[in-house]
Amino acid sequence: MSKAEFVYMTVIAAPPEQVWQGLTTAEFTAQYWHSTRVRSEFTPGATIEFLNPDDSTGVAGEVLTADRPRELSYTWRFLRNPEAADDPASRVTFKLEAIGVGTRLTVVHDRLAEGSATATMVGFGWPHVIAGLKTLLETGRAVDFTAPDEADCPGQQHAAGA
Amino acid sequence: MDAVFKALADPTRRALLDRLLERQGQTLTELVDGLGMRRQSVAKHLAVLEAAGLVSCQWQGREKLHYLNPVPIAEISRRWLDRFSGRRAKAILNLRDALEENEHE
Repeated sequence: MSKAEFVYMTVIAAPPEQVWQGLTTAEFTAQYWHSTRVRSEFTPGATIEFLNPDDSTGVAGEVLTADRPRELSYTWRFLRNPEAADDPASRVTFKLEAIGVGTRLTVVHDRLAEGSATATMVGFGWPHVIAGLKTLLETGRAVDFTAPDEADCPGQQHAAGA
Repeated sequence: MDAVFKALADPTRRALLDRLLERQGQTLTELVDGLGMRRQSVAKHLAVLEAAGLVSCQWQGREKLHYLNPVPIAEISRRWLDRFSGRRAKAILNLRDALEENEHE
């Protein structure tokens, strides 16, 4: 069975509460998440938006689960990218488990339409975002990677053609 | 980080990652198919990849599904790339300070 979904995992040397703040606070997301600011009340049914520096909406969705600091999930529509803006909403789930050295963070992005632009883009975006969150929380250093963006990402073109 | 480099230093394991990039969420049986290798050796290679954090897993009923997890590779690239961007940021700040000082003079 083919799966249009992604499962990412990392261990962050910070307690789950800090990882939760990293995921839900605009001051944090602006530093590692393609310069976008998250905005939501983080209650089930609330809207969630990731705002670009020019205040346009990059990603929009609805909060499905907000069990602080264990599980967060929301739907995902990639408005920033014209090719992906009309894709049906997919779903992102963050699971935070306290382990000895800090937090095991699992990120699952599913309900993706196979071969959709959203599937291709999130596949290459998440590793950088997650590694950026880890670096930020572990070193307190902002790491705004140049986003592996639509036009100038050879990796994405390669994958789209694969 | 040693574990990541060791895991990547093997053509079979890189081939397994390639196959997961093509199609996420495969079972061991699916991965064995077409590799021309014994199930046990594929399982062993997968275990090395898992231990290095390059493969993540999800259970679906009794089936273990495997996914490519490139986060450790992104972390490695960050380790060296970041230093350059940090230096560049510092250079920009220094330049700005120098220009501002000139203005005051």
